[in-house]
Amino acid sequence: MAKAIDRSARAPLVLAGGALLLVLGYLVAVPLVMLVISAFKPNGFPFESGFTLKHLVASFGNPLLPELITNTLLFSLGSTALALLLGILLAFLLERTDLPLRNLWRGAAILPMAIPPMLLAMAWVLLLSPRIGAINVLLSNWFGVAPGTFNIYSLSGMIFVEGMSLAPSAYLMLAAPVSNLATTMEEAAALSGAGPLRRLRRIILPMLLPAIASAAIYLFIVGLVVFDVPGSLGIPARIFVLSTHIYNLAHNPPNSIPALGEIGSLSFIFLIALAALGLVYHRMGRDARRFVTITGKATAPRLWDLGIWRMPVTVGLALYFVLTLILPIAILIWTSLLPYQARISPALVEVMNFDNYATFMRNSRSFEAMKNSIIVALVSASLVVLLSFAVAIYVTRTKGPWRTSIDLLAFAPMAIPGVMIGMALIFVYLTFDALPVYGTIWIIVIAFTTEYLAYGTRSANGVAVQVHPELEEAGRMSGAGAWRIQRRILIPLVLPAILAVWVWVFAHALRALSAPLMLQGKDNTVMVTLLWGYWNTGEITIAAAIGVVLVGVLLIATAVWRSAASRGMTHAH
Amino acid sequence: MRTERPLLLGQDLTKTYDGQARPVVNGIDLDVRQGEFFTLLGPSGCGKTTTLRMIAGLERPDHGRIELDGQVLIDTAAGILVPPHKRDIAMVFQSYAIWPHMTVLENVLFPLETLRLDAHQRDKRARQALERVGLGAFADRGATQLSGGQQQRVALARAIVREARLLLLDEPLSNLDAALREQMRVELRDLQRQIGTTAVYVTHDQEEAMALSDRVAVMNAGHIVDIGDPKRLFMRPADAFVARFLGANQEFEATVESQTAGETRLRTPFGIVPAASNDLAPGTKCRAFLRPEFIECHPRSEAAGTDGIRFEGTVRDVLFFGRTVAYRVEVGDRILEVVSTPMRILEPGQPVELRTLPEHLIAFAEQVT
Amino acid sequence: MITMNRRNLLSTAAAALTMMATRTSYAADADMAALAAKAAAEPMAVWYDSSRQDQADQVIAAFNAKYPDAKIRQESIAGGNGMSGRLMQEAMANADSADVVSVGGGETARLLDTDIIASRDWSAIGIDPKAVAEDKAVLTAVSIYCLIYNKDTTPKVPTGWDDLVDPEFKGNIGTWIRAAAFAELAATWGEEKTTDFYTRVLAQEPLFYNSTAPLAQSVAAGEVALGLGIYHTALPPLEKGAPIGLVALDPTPISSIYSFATQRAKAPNTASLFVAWLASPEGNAAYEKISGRGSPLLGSTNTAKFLEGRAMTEWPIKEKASYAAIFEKYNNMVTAKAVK
Repeated sequence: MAKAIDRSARAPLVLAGGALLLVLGYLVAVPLVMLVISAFKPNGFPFESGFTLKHLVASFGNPLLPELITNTLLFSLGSTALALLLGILLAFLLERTDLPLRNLWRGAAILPMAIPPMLLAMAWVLLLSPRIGAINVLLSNWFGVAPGTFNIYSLSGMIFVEGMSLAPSAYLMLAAPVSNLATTMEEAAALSGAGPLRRLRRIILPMLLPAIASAAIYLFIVGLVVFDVPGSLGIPARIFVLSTHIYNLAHNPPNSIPALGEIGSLSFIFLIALAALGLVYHRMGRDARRFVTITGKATAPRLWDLGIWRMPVTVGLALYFVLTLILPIAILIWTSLLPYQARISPALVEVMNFDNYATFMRNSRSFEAMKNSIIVALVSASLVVLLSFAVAIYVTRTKGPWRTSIDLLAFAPMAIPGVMIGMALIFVYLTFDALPVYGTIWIIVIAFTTEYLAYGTRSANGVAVQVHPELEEAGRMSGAGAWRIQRRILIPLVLPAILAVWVWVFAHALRALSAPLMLQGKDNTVMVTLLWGYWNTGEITIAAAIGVVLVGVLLIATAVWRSAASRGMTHAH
Repeated sequence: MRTERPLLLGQDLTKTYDGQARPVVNGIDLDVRQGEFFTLLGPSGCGKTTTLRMIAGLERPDHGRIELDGQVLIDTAAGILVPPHKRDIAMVFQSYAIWPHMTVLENVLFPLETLRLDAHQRDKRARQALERVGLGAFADRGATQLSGGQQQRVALARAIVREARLLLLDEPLSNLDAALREQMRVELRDLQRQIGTTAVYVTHDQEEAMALSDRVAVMNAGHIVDIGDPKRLFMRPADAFVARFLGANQEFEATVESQTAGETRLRTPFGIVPAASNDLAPGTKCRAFLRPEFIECHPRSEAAGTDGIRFEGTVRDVLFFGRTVAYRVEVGDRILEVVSTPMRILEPGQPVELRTLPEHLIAFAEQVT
Repeated sequence: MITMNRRNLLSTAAAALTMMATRTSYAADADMAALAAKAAAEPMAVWYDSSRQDQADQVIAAFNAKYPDAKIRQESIAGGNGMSGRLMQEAMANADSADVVSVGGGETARLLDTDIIASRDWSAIGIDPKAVAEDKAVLTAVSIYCLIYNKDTTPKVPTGWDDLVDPEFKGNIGTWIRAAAFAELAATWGEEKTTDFYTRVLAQEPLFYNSTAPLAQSVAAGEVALGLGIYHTALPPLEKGAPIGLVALDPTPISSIYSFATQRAKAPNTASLFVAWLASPEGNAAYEKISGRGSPLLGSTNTAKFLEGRAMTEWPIKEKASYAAIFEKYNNMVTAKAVK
C-alpha cells in the first residue's frame, strides 16, 4: 500500500504532523507527566519540592493488590465479553439480515447510551437489591421465589450491568465493519458448501477480527478504569477493583487529603497495561490493511434470510431492549414519583406525586446545569470528531512523520481514570492561568476531549483502514488536491462513522461524572453533578427525577442524531 | 465430454427487483447439457448475472423452477428451495473473493471440509487442484500477496476442487489485462475440457463468448433472444440486436426486392443483389448487415469470375491495425468498410472490386420503434 | 483522657449555657453590626463548603436576611475531595481562593499546621471559647452518628451499640464504607476494644454505602433493618413519613465541622461576620433548620437536645493523627475480606 509522496507534498505533511503532535502532546502528555511526577512527590503535588518512593512502596506493597487486580481483571474481561457478544449480535442482526423494522431497531440500539452508567447502576439497584429490589419483590410475591436469589451486589451483577452499558458502544464500533464486509466473501463460502454457521465461524468472524479485536481492547480498558458501576454495585458487597480503590484513596483517605501520590503510582499499572495493549493493537492495525473491503465496485450487501428465525429473533431483541432500556427507565420513573424510597407495592400509587420534579425545577441551579451540560457536550463532541479524524487520516493514509507517536498519544488518555484527568487538569490550569479555564465549563470540555479522544481515533482508524486507497487515488488522478480529496471523496465515505463518533461523544459527555465532579467550580455545574448532589444527600427520589429528565434529553438527542446518521449511510437497505 | 443429456433445466424464471417496474429476468427457459460450456451473453442490465445467481441460489426467483440433474433446486409453485450451500454447484466470482485471512492452500481446502475425507486426502486433492491451475508452488503463500491473475487461478482451483456437477463463472476474466485475459481464456477452456465439468459462463464480451463456448444464449432486457453455437450465431444471428451485439457493425437500409425459388434478392444502396435467404415479404423495409471481414477487396485489374456479389469501388482510406488492415471503399456515393489481412496492402485511390457471397448479406425487417 | 474532660465540660457548658445566653445576650450584636458595616464595603466573599448548592443558597439567604449588605456565595467542594488539598494548591499557586471555609475536623487539623487559616479574636465577638480551636477555627456544627432502624422490618427495637453485633441482625445491617464512627469511638473505648468490636460488626455481613444518606434511605425502604448512619441525613426520610426510628448511641461518635476565615481572604470582614453568624444561636438555628446539623454547644439547637444526657466521643483536634491511623486501619479491614 505504499503511496509515493513527492517532495512538494512533504512540507504540508510535516506541518500537519507537527501541529497534531503539539496539540496531542499538550492535551495528553501534560496530564500524564503530572501523573507520573505526583507519584514521586511527598504529598502528591507535582510542583512541590522533594522526592520520595513511599507511594510506590505503599501501592505495590499493598497486600490487597493481588485481589484488587484479580477482581479488576475478572470484571473487565467479563463485561468486555458480554458487551462484545451483544454488540456483534446486534451488528449482524441489524446490518446483514432481513430482520423486519431494521431501522427502528437501529435507532433503539444506541438509546441505552442515554442512560448514564451511574443511573443504570442505580436503576438496577432499585430493581435487584436483595430484599427490596422491585424484581425480587415481584418474583417473591408472584412466584414465591426467595428474596435475595438475584443479588445485584455481586461480581456477576457488576458484569451484567457494565456489559449492558457498554453494548451500544460495541455495536457502534462494529456496525460499519460488519456492514462493509464484502458479501462475495460469504457467497463464495456458500458456494463452497459452507452452511450459515460455518460461514460465520470460518469466514465472517475471522475477517472481522481486526475490528472485533480493536473494539475488545477499547472495551477492556474502559472496564479497567470505569468507576460508576463497581462503585455502586461492588462497594456494598466489599468487592473492590482498582478504580474503586483509587476512588477510596481520593475520597476516603485517612488524612482527609486525597492520597495523590498513591493514585499517581497506581496509574503506572494502567499505563503499563495500556502500553502492552497499545502495541498489540498497532500490530493488528497493520494486518487490518489486508482486509480492505470497501472498494469502488458497488455491490449491495446481500442480506441473510432469517426465515423462521424472524419471530424468535425479534422477540429476543425486544427482550434485550426491555432489560437494557425499558426496565431501568421504568423503575427510575416509578421512583421519581415517590416521596421516599420504599418497597414496591400497588399501595404506593396513592402517594405518588410530581413533587420531586417540582423541587428540581425550583432549584436555582437547574437551568444553568442543563445549559452547561448541552454546551459542554456539543463542543466536546465536535472537537473530538475533528481531532480524531485528523489523526486517523494522518496516521493511516499518509506517510508523514511521527505517526506512531501521534497515534499512541491519541490512545493514551483512555488509560487514565477520569478522576486523575480531572486532578491533572486542576494542577495544570491552576498553575498556568494564561488560559483562564479553571472552574469554568471549558476545563470540563478539555477533560472530555482528552478522555474521549481514544474512542474517536479507534473508530476513525477502523473505518479509514477499510476504505480502499484506489478511491482516493482516483480522486488525485482527477486533479483534486489533498484537501479536496478529503472533502469530496474520503469524508463522505466515512461520514457515517463520523456521525457515530459525534453521537457517542455527545452522549458520554452528557452523562460522565468523574471529571466534572473533580472540576466543579463556580459556574460549571452540569446535570450529573446536580444529580450526584441529590444522590449523596440521600434524596434518591429527587435524583431519580433528575435522572429521568437527563435520560429524556439524551434520548431525544440520540434519536434525532441517529435518524440524521442513517440518512447519511451509504448503504440503502 | 459434451453430451446431449440435459443437466440443468430452468423454466419460466422471472425476477423483479424491489422498486423497479420491469422484471430483470422475464420468464426465461434454460437447458444446459452435461459437459458443455454454456455462456450467457448480453449488455449490462440484461439479466445474465441475475440468472446465474438464481442458479447458484444467491438470488431467489419470483417465479420459476430450476432442476439440476433431476434434483429440484427451486420450484416457486411447489414451495421448494434448496439453499446455495446444499447445491452441488461451484462458482467463480468476478472479484475472485479470495479469503484474505487464509493461505492459498487453505482457501482451496475449505470446500473439501464438508466432504468425508481425511486430512491427507484433502491435502492431496487441494494440491492437485492448485497444480492444475499452475499454482502448485504458491500453496503456502498468504492469499493477499497474489497478483490479480494469481488470485483468479486460486478462485478457479477452489471452484474445481470439489468436483461439483456444475461450475458457474461470473465474468471472471473482466478484471484482467488484455494479454492475461487471452491466455486465461485458453487455459479455462482446456481445464473445462480436461475435467469434463459443465460450465455456465456470464460475460458481456462477445469475443470471449465465441472463443469459449459450445453454446451461447444472447440476452436482452430479461429475455433470451437467440441461442445456439457460436458459428451459427455469428453467421446467422436471429435478429438485428444479436447481429449488432456480436459485432456486426456495418449495416445499411435495404428493401426486399423479390423472393423466388428460395432465392432472396435485396435492393441495397449498392445495387440489387442476392442475399441470405429469409422469409420476408417483397417490399419489406429492412436493415441489412454485411460484415467487413466477409468482403474481399481485389484490385480491379485482377477481376476474375462473376459469381457472388460484386461491387466496383475506389479505396478512399487505408487503416493499418497491425494484424488487420481496413479499407474504406467508396461504392457509388456510399462507403463500405472492408477488413483484410495485411499480406497485401492497397493504396488509397486504387480502383478495386469488392466480392462477397450472398449468405453473408443478412437482413432483418426494420423495427418500428 | 481528654474526652472525659470534654464530656464533663459539655454537660457543664450545657447547663450553664442558658445562663450565658441571658447574661451576654449576644451583646456581641453590636460588634457584629460593626463587622457588617465593614463587610458592606468589601467584594463578594467565597465560602468553600461541602453542602448541596441549593441548601447553601438557603443558608446564605438567611444570612442576608439579617445582613443584607454582606455579599457572599458558596462554592460546593464535593465532600472528601480534599478541601484542604484544594486550599493548599491554590495557596501555592497564589490563585483566587476561599474567604471562609467550613470543613471537618481532620482537614481543619491539617490546615491549622499551615498559615492558611486566619487568627481572630472570636471571643471578642462573643463566641464561646470552648468552640474555638487555637484562636482560629470555630466549631459550627457536628455530624452525629446514630442508629437508624426500620420499624416495620426490624426483628427487635434496637437500643445501642450491642445491637450491631446481635446475631438477630446478621445480614440485615448497613454501614458507611468510611469507618469514621468507629475510629471516633476508639477515642473513648480504646483501640483494642474498638478493633475487636469492629471485627465482629464486619462478620455480620453488613451492606456498605458510599455515604450515609443512601444508607438512611435504604433503611427507610427496608433493604436493611438496622443501620449506623448520621442523624442529619436520616432526617429527610423521617420527615417524609418513612417508618424509621432514630436511636442515640452511648457514647455518640461525632464529627465536628469547623468554620474559619482565610489569611488570603479578599473579604476578611465578611468572612468573620459569616463565621460569627454561623456560631450564633440565631444563625446556627437557621443552618440547622436547613442542613440538619447544628452545634451541640448551643443549648437551643435540636442537636443539643438529641444529645442530651449522652456522652460524646471524638478525637480532639490535635490528636487527629491517631484518628487517621485507626481510620486507615479500619478502612483496610473493609477492603480485605477475611470472610469471602
